[in-house]
Amino acid sequence: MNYNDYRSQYGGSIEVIGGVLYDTVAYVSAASVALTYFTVVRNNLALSNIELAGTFPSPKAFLIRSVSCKIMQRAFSSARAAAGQVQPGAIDNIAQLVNTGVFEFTIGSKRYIHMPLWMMPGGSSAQGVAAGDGDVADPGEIQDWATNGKPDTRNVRTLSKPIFIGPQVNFVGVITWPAAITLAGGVNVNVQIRFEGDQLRPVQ
Amino acid sequence: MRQLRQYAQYQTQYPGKEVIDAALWDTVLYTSAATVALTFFNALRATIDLSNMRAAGQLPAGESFMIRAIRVFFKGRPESTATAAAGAVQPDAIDDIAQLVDSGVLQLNIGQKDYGIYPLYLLAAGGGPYGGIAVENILVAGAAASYGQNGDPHIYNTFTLSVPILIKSQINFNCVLTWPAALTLIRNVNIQVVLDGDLIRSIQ
Repeated sequence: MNYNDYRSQYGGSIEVIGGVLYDTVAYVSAASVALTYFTVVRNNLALSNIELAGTFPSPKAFLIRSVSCKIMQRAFSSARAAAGQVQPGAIDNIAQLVNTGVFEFTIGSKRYIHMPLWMMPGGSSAQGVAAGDGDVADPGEIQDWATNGKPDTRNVRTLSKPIFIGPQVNFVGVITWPAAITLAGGVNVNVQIRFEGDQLRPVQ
Repeated sequence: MRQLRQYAQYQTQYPGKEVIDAALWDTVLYTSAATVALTFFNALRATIDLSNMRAAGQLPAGESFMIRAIRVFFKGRPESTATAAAGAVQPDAIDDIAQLVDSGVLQLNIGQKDYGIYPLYLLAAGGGPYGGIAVENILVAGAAASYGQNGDPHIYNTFTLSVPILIKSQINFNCVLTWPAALTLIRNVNIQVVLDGDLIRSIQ
């Protein structure tokens, strides 16, 4: 039998397409001090497009050209804090998460990305304005919205030297904080890590 | 010689160097009404969100760093403040940043020589929260809510050196921020200096 007559991949060739690799984990208010990425198949494309936990099936591979951290913060209404106090809300959620969060990405046994979250803006996102109508008695309320960096598709951390993840090589991303953060209203937010680059896959 | 060759069988580092996109960061607290100078990269800090230096004031043997950009990030949070009287300065989170960058100066020192003296407002963070905030309130004593950062949080908004600067391994370096007089802020703030560029390290 000539198996070559029935093949589904041709000549061992690889094609390259522009690709995105992402994974999402919820930050749990007042609890999380570390979030781990790419080690679990989520079975939900809104959360992740990883096919295998922590690796690529052979012969697939990925060249990372940029890295982003998108924080899925929704617009928020909060009681206004007393004068002289920190003001909780959407902006404060983002500020707290990026002020002390640090991302680390390991391939095999070696770290290849290590930087504060504020240096990895999320790229495009919702952008808007906020206004109050002034009918709430003192101390009043505030409404705010926020993103990790200006929501612009060009606003992503492009690596000065791309990083290649070969097939069947373990990789993992971890965000750590030195202490758990209490988010506005105790509402958890999803934090997504996204790599953009080149996806390598077999010719079919 | 025979003995040296025997040790080579057990090496953990291999010929050549690899280069990765990287950042060196350090964080020091500005104390309101007290601080006139802060020194960065001269000490090890307790947690990774504060600094990733592994030796005080220098890079370990086998590592060097090419500085391509210098960035300064303020780890502030949104603040609720009382409205100032008409005709007076409004103390708030934005005013804190304005004061710090308007009179702050950064000096980069390598070995015995300075390699740049920059007004702080030039060294935009190029990242951080971005959003909008509105106060809803029947004014009694007046209310304001504010958040500030060093420049537009867009990664294009960074001060890129026209000529990169190489810090070789085991050479002393630091950054010093100075102000001509102590500033009175609404709150003490952690200031993070980031040297953004390429890390050159051993192949392992």
